[in-house]
Amino acid sequence: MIPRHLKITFGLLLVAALASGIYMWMLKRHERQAPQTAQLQQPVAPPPATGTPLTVALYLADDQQGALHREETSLSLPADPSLRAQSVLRAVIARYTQKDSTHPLPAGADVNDVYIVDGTAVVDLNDALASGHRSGVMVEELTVLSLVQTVAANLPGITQVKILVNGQERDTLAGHADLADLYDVAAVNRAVGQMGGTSSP
Amino acid sequence: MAWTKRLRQNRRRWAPGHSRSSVAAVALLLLLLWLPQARPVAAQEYLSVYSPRGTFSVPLQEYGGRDYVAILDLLAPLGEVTARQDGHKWKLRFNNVEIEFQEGKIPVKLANRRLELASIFHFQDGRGLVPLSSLVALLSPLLQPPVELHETARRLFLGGAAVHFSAEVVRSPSDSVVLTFTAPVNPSIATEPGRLSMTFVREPLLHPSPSTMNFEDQYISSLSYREAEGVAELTLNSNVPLLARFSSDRKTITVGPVVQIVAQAKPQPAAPLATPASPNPPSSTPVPIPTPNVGAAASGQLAFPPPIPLAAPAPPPVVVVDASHGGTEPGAALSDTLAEKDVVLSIAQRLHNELEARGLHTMLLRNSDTALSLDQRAILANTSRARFYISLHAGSLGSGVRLYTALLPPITPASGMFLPWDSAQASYLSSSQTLSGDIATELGKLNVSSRQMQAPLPPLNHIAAAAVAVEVVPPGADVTQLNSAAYQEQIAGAIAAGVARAQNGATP
Repeated sequence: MIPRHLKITFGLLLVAALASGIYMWMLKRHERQAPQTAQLQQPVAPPPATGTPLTVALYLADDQQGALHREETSLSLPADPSLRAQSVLRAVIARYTQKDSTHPLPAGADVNDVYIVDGTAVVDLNDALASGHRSGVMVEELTVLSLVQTVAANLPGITQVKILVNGQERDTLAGHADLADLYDVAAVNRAVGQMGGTSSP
Repeated sequence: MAWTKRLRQNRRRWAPGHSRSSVAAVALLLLLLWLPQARPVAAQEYLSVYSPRGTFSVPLQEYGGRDYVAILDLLAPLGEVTARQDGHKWKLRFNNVEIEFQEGKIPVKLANRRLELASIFHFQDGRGLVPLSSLVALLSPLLQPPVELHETARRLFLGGAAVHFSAEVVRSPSDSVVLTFTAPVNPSIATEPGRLSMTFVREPLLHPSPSTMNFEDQYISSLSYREAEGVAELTLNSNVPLLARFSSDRKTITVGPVVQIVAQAKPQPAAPLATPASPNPPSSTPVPIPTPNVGAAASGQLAFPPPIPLAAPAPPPVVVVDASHGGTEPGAALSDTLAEKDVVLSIAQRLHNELEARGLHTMLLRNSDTALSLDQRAILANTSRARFYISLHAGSLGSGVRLYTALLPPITPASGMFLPWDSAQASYLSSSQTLSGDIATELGKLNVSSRQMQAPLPPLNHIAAAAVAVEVVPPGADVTQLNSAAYQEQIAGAIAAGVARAQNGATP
């Protein structure tokens, strides 16, 4: 006969194993459903109004003209520079995920976070934006320059921008635009001006 | 002592009979802990579809041990198709023929006929899924015959789409196997000691009869055909390192021992280059891994084919032409059937010929559907010491041609023997802009519109030469014009003329 205390121990271990098995199965199920949920998300809206309404400059891409256009709009921005950068980028992405966008981005595209370290803004885009992005030199360049130029225009003191996707470095956005290196704000401003769009004053 | 008595009692309790049940309990416990992680995540599988309209692939899904395919994904590239849901029924209209499926049911109404699927119809996330094995029955009334499904290989042939081939051993000028195809082909090529494999992803290559051919040749012993996982593969087995060389119309591939193929290729600089299996060696001539002579090895000796004196080394190239993407990295999907990697390869080959015709020795970084990393491209271009680097891209946005130079921060160019990798282009930016201007001038002469811009486009920043990326866009709204031979010739001619102009104007 197996002693009673061993039976109880095995019983408890079996229950624990079953419970952890069910928990892991649920985790896996959740993980499988996660990308679909991301794709089904509605276009992101600008963040809820917090802070003082301010006039901000958005640099919006136009696929047909192959250029960026400066547009001023009023946004309620938080005081924290990281949250402020996140807000203006979300405002740009919200325009791109609208139906009549001049530069469509995939539904569910969003900015996970923005970190600011010594004049460098690290922009963490979500996977839906990068994975569903159209591939092409011009179309990818417009997205990247639009985001970099918008951050630089609204956060004085930013000299470089680094773009991550889901917290990870990657070589290119969708096969063309460089994400491995830092973007120099002055060089981007010059390139935007050369495109025929509106560069920062 | 009480504790020694208890220990003795415990030992008795752990008699062999008890230990067996305890071991079984522990094993069961471990099994339960292992089970949730044991199931491997299956890789996404695809069905390759070859039709007169082109080649495409559709993902497969597994239900109850059977492969299913989304019928809408399959029919969309083949004609006009619409679908709507009506309760449990799912109605699909393809080229004015209505098909009615019912969720969880086997029968299907097709116009006035009734068909039976091999297993039940599934409807998931707005997609109707039919069993793979029922595709022939389902598609035959809808499409031009024949409809041929190679189910285990996951390949579907529609409307008689097929490429056949023949193989023969040629003794003169050297021993080689010549493969002749009924249509141009562009296989990915890989070599390993004792074999050379050609993988046909986009071509509807059909099996010969028999599927293995044996040759009475001192170097190449056999050729075998195999199809699996949506691709066809030809493998040549040999006792020496092999190399493949394509004819200019890409309908003939000559495979032979490395030294012989290279020796044949040397006197014909304008002919397409031999295709390296590995892109790593920084040279226009591939250097495969030598394979010992197997027959000689069996007798205790290692031997190589008789040495043939090679021609003097070719002069360094003036121009490096880089067809972007390739292999598993297709670039932009310009249409359902047109990938950027194929368009740029075709333009690159034309540009190569145009440049050579102008006396500019040119190195093509890839001459087949081969994958090269961005760093490999930069290393190959830099080690070639070419004066000009042209990277080719294709796009569908806008029209004309866009010329890109590197987007670099305003830095002082480095001087000396070594350049920083991240900004190697800085020292050449001015000559890159001159090259871009010269190409734009030549395009203007042909009334092709062009734009000159800067772009964050790797590997431009790492190139130590005048470097321009050219993005070719269709002249009008029809993206298939990118595949037009006349348009490609026109663009390639203008780029070559621009490079020649820069070469003539460049100060040494």
